[in-house]
Amino acid sequence: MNEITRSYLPMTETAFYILLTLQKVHYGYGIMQDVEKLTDGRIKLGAGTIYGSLSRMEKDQLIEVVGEENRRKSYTATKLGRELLQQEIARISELYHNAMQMEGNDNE
Amino acid sequence: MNNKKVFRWWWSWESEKMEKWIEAQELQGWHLVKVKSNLMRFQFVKGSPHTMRYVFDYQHEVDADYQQLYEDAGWEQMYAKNNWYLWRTSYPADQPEQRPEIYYDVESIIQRNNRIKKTLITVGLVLVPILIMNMLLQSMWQIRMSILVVYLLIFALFLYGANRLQAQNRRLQGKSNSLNN
Repeated sequence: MNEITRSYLPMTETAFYILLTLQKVHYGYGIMQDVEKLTDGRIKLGAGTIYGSLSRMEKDQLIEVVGEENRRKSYTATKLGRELLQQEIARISELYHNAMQMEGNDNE
Repeated sequence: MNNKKVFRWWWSWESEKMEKWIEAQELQGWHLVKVKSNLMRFQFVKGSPHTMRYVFDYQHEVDADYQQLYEDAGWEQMYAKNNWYLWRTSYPADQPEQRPEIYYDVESIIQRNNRIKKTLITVGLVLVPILIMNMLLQSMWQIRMSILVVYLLIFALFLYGANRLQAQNRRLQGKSNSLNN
């Protein structure tokens, strides 16, 4: 893993949710809608944020363009992007399990 | 009088101030219909008050996807030239907390500020060879000195602008750190 990909870890919520939704093929606005729905409106991704993130992640080869229709590019996560997402999920799981365990100890 | 043209000079590090100014015009019923002259001449038509969000964007290079994505998200493009974009969208008057943004996250605003900063510094440096050329072409030292002084003032202004953007970035960074830690 090089310097660029390492800079994504730990991930911002923006990058995390973009990669998560791009397990399937999506275009920009579809990602915005999906993330808002998934987080019950907690995370709103602005058009500018999505545009900038997609451009950067494409350049860093975490995602790739798989189609273009009516000026809308659709994207999907690359192998590298999926690997990074898995690492982040492992990190979040560790946080979660440790949090649960400590909570459990407190209650005893 | 049901339309007016207003000239407003502003610097690239003051876009938020300009957004608020146009939004205030809309609230008073002055509906923006046209923007010209490098985002400094604004043409309004009198009508009913609107709760509109106006937002300036600065991008170095965009593809067709850029405009489409913003339009999908409900933004209308009012201006697009020289890397500057003006977008607008309406939102409910009774929900001021719903004022739409193109960047909800701190990181994206910092990156936009960095793009503006880079342009200020680049333009400032590009002026150096022009300055030297002009100075060499002049034989009178008084004129040479005046050219130099004018350049230094321009460069100082650009540095000031870059500094203001940097200060805003630091404030934003501080805010995001205190949220995360």
